[in-house]
Amino acid sequence: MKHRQTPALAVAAALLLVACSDSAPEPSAAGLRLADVLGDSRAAGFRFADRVVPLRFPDDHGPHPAFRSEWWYLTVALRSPAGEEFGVQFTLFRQALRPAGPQAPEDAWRSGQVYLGHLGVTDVDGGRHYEAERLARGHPRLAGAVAAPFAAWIEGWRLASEGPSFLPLRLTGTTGEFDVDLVFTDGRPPTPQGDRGLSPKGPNQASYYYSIPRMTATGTLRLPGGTVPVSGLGWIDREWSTSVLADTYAGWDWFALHLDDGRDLMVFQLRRRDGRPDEHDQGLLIDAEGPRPLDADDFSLAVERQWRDRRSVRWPVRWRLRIGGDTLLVEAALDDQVMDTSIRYWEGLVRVHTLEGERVGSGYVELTGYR
Amino acid sequence: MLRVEGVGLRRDDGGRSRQILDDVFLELAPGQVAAVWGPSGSGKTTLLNLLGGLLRPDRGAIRLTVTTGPDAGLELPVHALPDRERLRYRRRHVGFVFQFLNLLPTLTVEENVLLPLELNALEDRADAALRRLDALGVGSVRHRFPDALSGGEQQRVAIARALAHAPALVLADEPTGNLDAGNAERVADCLWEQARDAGAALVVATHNERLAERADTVIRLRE
Amino acid sequence: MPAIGLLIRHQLRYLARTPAATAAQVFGTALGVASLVAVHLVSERIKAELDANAPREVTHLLRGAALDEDAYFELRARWRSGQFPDVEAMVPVVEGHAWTAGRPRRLSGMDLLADRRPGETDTNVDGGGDGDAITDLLTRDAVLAGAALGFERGDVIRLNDFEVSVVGTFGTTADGFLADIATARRILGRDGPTAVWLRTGADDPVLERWLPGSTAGFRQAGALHLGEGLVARPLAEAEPTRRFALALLFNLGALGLLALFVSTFLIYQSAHANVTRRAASDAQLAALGVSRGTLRTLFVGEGTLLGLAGAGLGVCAGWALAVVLMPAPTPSSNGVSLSAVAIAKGGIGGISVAAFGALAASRQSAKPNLRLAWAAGAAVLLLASVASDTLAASFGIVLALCLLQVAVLVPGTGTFLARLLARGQRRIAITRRAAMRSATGQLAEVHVAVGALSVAVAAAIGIGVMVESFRQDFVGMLEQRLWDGIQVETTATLPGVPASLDDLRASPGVVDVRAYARAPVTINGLSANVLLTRGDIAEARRYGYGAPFQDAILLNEAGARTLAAGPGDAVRVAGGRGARMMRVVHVFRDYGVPGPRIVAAVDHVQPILEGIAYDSFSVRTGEGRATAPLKADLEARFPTAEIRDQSEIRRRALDVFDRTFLIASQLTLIALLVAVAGLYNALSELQARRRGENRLLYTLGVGRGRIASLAMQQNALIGLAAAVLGIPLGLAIAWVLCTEVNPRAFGWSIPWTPGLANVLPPVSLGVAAALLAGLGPTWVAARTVTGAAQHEA
Repeated sequence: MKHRQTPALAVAAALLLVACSDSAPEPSAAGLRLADVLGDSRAAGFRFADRVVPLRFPDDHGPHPAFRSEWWYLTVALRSPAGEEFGVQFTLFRQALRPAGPQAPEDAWRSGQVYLGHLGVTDVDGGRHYEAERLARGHPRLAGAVAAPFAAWIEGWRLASEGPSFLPLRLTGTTGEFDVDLVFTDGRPPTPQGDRGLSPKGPNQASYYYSIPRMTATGTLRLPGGTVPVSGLGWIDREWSTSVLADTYAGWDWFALHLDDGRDLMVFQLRRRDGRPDEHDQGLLIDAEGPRPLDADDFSLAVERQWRDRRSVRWPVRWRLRIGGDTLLVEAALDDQVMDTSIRYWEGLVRVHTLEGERVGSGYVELTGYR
Repeated sequence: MLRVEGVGLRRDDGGRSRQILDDVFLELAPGQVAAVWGPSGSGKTTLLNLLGGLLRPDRGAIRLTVTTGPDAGLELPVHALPDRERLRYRRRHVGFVFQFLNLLPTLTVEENVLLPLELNALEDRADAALRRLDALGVGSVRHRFPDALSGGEQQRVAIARALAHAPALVLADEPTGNLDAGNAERVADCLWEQARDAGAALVVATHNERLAERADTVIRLRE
Repeated sequence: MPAIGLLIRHQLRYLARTPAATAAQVFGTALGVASLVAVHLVSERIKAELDANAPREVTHLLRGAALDEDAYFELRARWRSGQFPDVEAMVPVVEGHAWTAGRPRRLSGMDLLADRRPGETDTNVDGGGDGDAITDLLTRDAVLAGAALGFERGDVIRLNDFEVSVVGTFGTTADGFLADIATARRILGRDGPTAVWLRTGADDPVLERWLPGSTAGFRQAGALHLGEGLVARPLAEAEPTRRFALALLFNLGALGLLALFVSTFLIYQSAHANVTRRAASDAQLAALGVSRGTLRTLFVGEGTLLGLAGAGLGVCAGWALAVVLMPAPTPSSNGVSLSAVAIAKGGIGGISVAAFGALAASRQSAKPNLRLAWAAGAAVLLLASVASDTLAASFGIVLALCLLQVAVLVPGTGTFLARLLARGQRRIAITRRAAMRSATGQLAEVHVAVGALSVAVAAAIGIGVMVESFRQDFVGMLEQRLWDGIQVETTATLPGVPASLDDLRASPGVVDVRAYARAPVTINGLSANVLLTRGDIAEARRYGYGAPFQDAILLNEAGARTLAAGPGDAVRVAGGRGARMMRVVHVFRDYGVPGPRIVAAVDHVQPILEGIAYDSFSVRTGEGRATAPLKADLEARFPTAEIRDQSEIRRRALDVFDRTFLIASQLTLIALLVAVAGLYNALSELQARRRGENRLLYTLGVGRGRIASLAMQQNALIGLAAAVLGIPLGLAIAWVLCTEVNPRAFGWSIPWTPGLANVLPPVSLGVAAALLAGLGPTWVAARTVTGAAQHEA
């Protein structure tokens, strides 16, 4: 009997949960809510997003270890030559266990950083949504990110510049079930959200936030049914902060849409626990005249249909989006695009129509905090 | 000699007390036959159970005087005997013949007949008891089990079993009730003849008028 | 459905009017469920204890000279890119001894983030519960201390030259430290991992949750070849006792099901008696136009309801039993807790068995020849099972034998005995003759209940013989393999061994020192391992062989089976430098090693090998000698080696075993109690049928006492018949478990060692059970017998 070896894996099991979700009142088997993880209040020693700081590139493509959490977030709406629709999502979360400076840690094994990677593929015509998750400590050979030449990776999943400049960019990811290989060429320049990149997320909360919409994507998807060549449009969101969401919020609904007329649209609404609309809801419209921030008054969202998953959680899957004089219908390309990972949320490909039913665009929606 | 003196019995029946037997008198010498006649529910079987010591009367007395054998001269106050004595009385001095279920199905004819002898430690009378089977015409089936016998044969074996231990009293409850007329006649003949030969007093409960008419005494019970 | 309310009322009143039969049915289900739940909870608990002594869910261990940091990361990248699809987790570990307070202590550091999902919880660690422990472990020099060391959270200690914070404790008897891999690397001054723990899909989590320990039998973990010099060995190889205990749990679980099986018979018999008793009222209802289907539905519904009640009681009783059997090891730690799976298992088992019993009974009353169908089915199952060599098939044999017992052997024996008793027996009193004939005749009529008792007795015998066989084999294994003393094993090669061991031989109290090397070879083309040792008689005895084997090899059972080779055969053994025919002189049972393995003398095999590296040695001490100083000395000398005190291992192993024995004996009792409930119903039915005969006897002057005594003799006869018929079945069940199930599941056979001590108690308990079950019906029979109203019968 090997009594000297102790239940190390079991010991390890509880730990990240506790570390990451101190504020989660009841970590249930249903997984953590993204908002709970990102709303952690133990933030002593970290820097806060509390004032406008001009964004600088390429530095800001890389990690900001002085802030507690951060993500690299890529969504892509794709089509095969035969016209089948696909969606791809890659997210790399960074969570710091302690504040750190910009220099590399003394011991590579003790970076104080934990990375969580999510990779999802939606096969609309096949009616299936695939997802995978990886967790690793920050370590050059496990997970991390660097600004230039840009790379963000976790155990073989990698989003990285192909040359010295940010674009072209390549996403490669392999799981037992599916593979993703996409190259992104031209896109819009990094576009700050909110007030020159400072994006309020509540009365005393804010993050630094910029987007890179309308990147041209080409590549292949390997799914259980075979390998498909695809092309489409990708959208990168980058965000870092130390405290993001206050207790008064249950979660958020976030939309990133590419319209066929050349406009790009981001809107999000913070869902208050009391159900009232929130003044911090915001958006960004980019058209021929350039980017234009949107206030809570500039747009509204009304849920038109909900879908109930196997755990009886009801997710909205069809909305009426009013923006200025326009009204658009946004609908999930597939109802079940729940990321059934340790953090449970809905991240999915959506189609945009006019009220008359004309298809006018595609995009991605993220829904958190539903239970 | 059997003497029944003013026997009566009440029974609770559905919460009401009912007089089942009232003031029954009978005097029966060894070798004599009494018939208890009446319609169903008139108390025939109850009277037999009283005589056999299975029930105790409320009033009156039942006395049996043994006239032959080693117990000759013994007078038994059946109505007053304690439980143990009544069991012994039944075992030693009474023979039973019923309408059916007379014989133990797991014993052969011979074993059924020997059963009362063994119960009374009278194995020395085995030969006589088995000879009676021949006399009753069932000697050839003595090794068979009851389920292999006809109804008439079964009743004749029952008669042999009832008389095997030379009881002073034989009680027969509708002994021919289950048989066709011809067989009934033959079985009744056997019963009468064997009881008389053995010197036993025989009490037969029946609703068969013909059978009752053959008795020395008839007790008629009303409903 | 018209008048359904009335029908249900009729049904419920019927149940209320036969309280004893109703209670027996509920009680029987409850007992069956109780045994299932108790076995489950105890298995869960034993499994958890076994797991606490080994990394949970780790199935393979990768060590070796080729393992450095580069190799690990390359391996990991290959795994992540889709190679080794069977591997579910890969955790690098740095292990070694670190000095604290003048003593070396084991320090294990693993990548705490290598195998987790946020959301898993763990109750074995006392880290204060505020979540800081993990942050501390990952960000600074912090450790978890084994509870036996006596440190508390917040203590600051020195480990080698480092100041380290204790941020929590773990285990109850652990006396080492746990840390993150970064901390262990620093303190132990090592770069690469010393080992990699792997988890493959060998343990099916779903199956494992429902049948704890079961997957140990169904899946074989073989070695994983991950690359040049990277061979991950099944953890079981390093831990034969763990595998042994799992094997026992596996068999126990199978036998725990037998109690439920017995209660199926019981419920069937009760339901059958019920159907019989209700024949008249059912006929009336049918005449009134109620369909047979409706009656059957009502009947099965009633059975299900009783099953529900029984299952509820049974879950509670099983829990209570498990709590009594497995008290918490320390007041502060958790004992047995009722899991949702246990409740579900008990509930589903109880209700379905009750419903099935009722359904079968209602069908049976319609088709009296169903018994023949069952017998035919069992025979087919038996033939099919014997023909197949799968694990499931060996359980099929057990099931078929039990069915045949109930459907053929018991009623057949009744008929046979009845015929035998039909003549003669002049010396037996006629009344007793009648009673015995009646009893044997009725054996056939209540064969299901008597068969259930018989199976219960058989299960008791089977459990007893199986456990005894296991124990004898286990003790033998412990004595053969685990000498008193210390075993030293390392990750790769022990520097200087065997030359440097000479001074150890001279140490006081040391009787012998033996070094061992391992090497990969092929035997008749099949890849295998060779253990190189001294081929002397002392070594031979460890494998149950009585002579030196300098120029021959010992082959393990798994190898013998795969190669179809035995003593006297020659096999071709090939190594890196050539091949040679070698003679097998002995086949040994190799606990926990599922693949082929040979043991050979160094000089015999060395010429064909590329060179030997010694990776372990054992220091044999005199019996009962204190080994602690020696162990401390060795820990200092070989800081990265695994150092185990053999007598300590033996003590722990026997402890687990003895606790497992407890449940085995309780199972026996439960199975018999189930049978008592079943038999009560059956004997009640028998005595009810015998009422006419008893009445006749009473009229003829046979007293109540004598009637009661005859009834008890009948019960004893039935009990004796059932118990005696249970002996061959019980021995057969044990035989199948030892020689068929175990080799198929675990690769080694257990010598079948039946003993009177395992047979007599269940048999006498079986007879006692029959007498106990007969008390009630006998009392009723004697109390209610009257001679009155013969013609009304």
